[in-house]
Amino acid sequence: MSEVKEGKLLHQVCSLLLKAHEEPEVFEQIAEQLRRNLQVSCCSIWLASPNGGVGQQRLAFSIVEDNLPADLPTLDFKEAFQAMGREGALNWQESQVKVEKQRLLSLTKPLSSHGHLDGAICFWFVDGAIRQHIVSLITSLAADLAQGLDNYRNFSDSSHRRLNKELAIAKQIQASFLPKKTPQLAGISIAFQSMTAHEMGGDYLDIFQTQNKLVGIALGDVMGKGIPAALWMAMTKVTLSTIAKSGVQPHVVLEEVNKALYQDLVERDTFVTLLYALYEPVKKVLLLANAGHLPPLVFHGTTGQYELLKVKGTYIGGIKNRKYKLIGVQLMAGDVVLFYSDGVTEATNSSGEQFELNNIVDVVSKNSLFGAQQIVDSLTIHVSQYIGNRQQADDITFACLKVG
Amino acid sequence: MRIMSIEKVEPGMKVGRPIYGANGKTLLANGVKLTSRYIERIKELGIAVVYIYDESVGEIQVDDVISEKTRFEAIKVTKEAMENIKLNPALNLARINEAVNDIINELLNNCDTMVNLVDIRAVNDYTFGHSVNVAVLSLITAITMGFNKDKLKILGAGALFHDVGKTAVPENILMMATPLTDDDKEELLEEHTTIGFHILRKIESLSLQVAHVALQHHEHYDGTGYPRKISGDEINEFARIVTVADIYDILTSGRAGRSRLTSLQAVELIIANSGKFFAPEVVKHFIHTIALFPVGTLVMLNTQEKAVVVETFREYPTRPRVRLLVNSQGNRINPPYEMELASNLNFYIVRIIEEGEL
Repeated sequence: MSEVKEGKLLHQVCSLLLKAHEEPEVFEQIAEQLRRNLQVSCCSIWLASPNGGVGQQRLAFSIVEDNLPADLPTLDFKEAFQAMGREGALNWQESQVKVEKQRLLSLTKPLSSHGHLDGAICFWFVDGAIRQHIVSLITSLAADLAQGLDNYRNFSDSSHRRLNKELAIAKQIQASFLPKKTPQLAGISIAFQSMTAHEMGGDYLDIFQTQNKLVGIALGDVMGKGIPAALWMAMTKVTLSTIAKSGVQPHVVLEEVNKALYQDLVERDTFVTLLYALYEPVKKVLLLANAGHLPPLVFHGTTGQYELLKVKGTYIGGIKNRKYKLIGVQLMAGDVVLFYSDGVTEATNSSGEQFELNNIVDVVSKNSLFGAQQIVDSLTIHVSQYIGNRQQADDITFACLKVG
Repeated sequence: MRIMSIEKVEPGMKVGRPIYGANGKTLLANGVKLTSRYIERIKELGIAVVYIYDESVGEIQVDDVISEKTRFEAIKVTKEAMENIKLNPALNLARINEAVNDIINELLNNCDTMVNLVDIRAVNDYTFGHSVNVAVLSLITAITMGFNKDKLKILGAGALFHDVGKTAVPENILMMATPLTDDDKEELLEEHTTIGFHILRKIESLSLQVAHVALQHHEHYDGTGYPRKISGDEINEFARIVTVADIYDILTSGRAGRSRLTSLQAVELIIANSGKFFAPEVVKHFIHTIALFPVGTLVMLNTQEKAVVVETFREYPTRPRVRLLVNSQGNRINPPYEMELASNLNFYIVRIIEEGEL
């Protein structure tokens, strides 16, 4: 491509991008322009989710009318998904697929602005020689494309129109605190769910493996909402995981967390409810201490009975040098333990009724023969259906541990 | 093509999968435009769910666990056998055995298969369609439990004939306004188990276990069933499987005055009664053979995107492969792309969409 032509294309795309916040169709036009001028088979533009990587959305897809593989849109999704997942560590992502004797090359670039991920742009082409045109052009365009996506998102997402920019960032921080993946251990399955409300709440969940191979599960709720809550959540998370990593008993962990945070919490007139459980997979014993959080539910698969693991304890930031009690429960194959926040029990339906514990027990019992992930997914569906079209009022967080 | 409850179907929509009548004859072929008369008729025939052709959803392959040919042959021979069995204890059961064999072989050939088709029964044929459904569900469960072929054959015959006693209790008596009290009716209905047992035990070419399936398929694991109120391992191992399959098929067909349950609701109900009505060992295997979100189900994702289920996996019951159709702004995604929910845990189903229009 000549420099004149390239310059002209850059100009066209940039002037289109100026309108991105009010006319989302411009992304379709941009993809079309880029595809034609760069002479590639397919070009797509993806918007990263505002919630810190949860979900993504395709804004544009332009493809030549040719004998391209029918599952190209699906392959394209995978490329974009991977590229956005490796953002930061990745400049360009290249891959090739062989479909029906045809060799297709793909080139994908994640797009970021102001230090956070906005989306990605993908190209599909047959001839390797086109590669350098794409790289040179998109390198000049990347910052503008990212800004265009950013403008579009801030305008189009109604939830973000209401939240100011800082809150959106806080929400991203909150989402990034969630466990990246759950520990994989023989004999148990673990899964979790976190559905954040539009007004950001202060739920905190962490699941990790301690140095002595036990599973630590922490669930907490910071009083208040917004940025202060997110910051307290961050402090709680760092404090707890530092103390708990070595495999210290739960009541000691809570005592230490309280010691570390007490003064600051009191000064800011706030507090944190926090539960910490430690599971020993060989003996199948669950140890637990609780600083004012809702008691976990244990459903015994063999008998169909359930119990709440109740143990009293003052919330973090309540009493200086507070001691906490430790309780334990012997689990058996088929048992399900569910940790949950008040967003679950207080989820409200159109008649103003709350979801409450009995519904949780009902869903768990009806799915108790499945693994943790399925139990979590089913509870998600039941709670979502219960809420219906109403706006979710509070963060909904739960974690599930299934033995056997 | 997508699944729709007949209540939501509107005139002008097109049939996405043939609707069959008795003997496997096609009543409504693919692509036929539904009129309000057709829709009324489908409702009258007791079909609760249909597959509707929907251009925006595109083509989706939905496979039955056994071929249509095998299913209709099985329905046919079951019907013939059940009609003759009382009069002729020396009945030649070669064709029944053949039908059972065919079902077993087809199930064994695709052992990862899941029950995806909803409401496959042929109309006007409830009893026999139901018998074949129960046989298929029982066999697919027993295969995952590791039963050998000899045991599968007994189970297959037991499942096909589990309700043979009902042929002696005319169903219309039970439905009609008669001087019978509800208790009388119930007693009469309960007798179909013992009647079935006595019919089947006289047939020399049948294993006595087949007769025991008919006798015991209403026994409950906790001893609250009928006729003998036996419990746990006292209940015949084949009957324990047929009980689960029988109830599942009744729940999802919306018979007996109940409203139809989706597969998800029916599986949840079965798990909730595991150890009560049903043997836990059977339920444990049964639930993995049923697609909780059958192919063709429209779902809403947490991202507010609408998608249709295109493939299901035994290992990930709540995480099928989906095709994304409408984005969070409500705009059509064209062309659609597909996603494995099992490998994209950030995406999950929040509800099933039942509305007529996308």
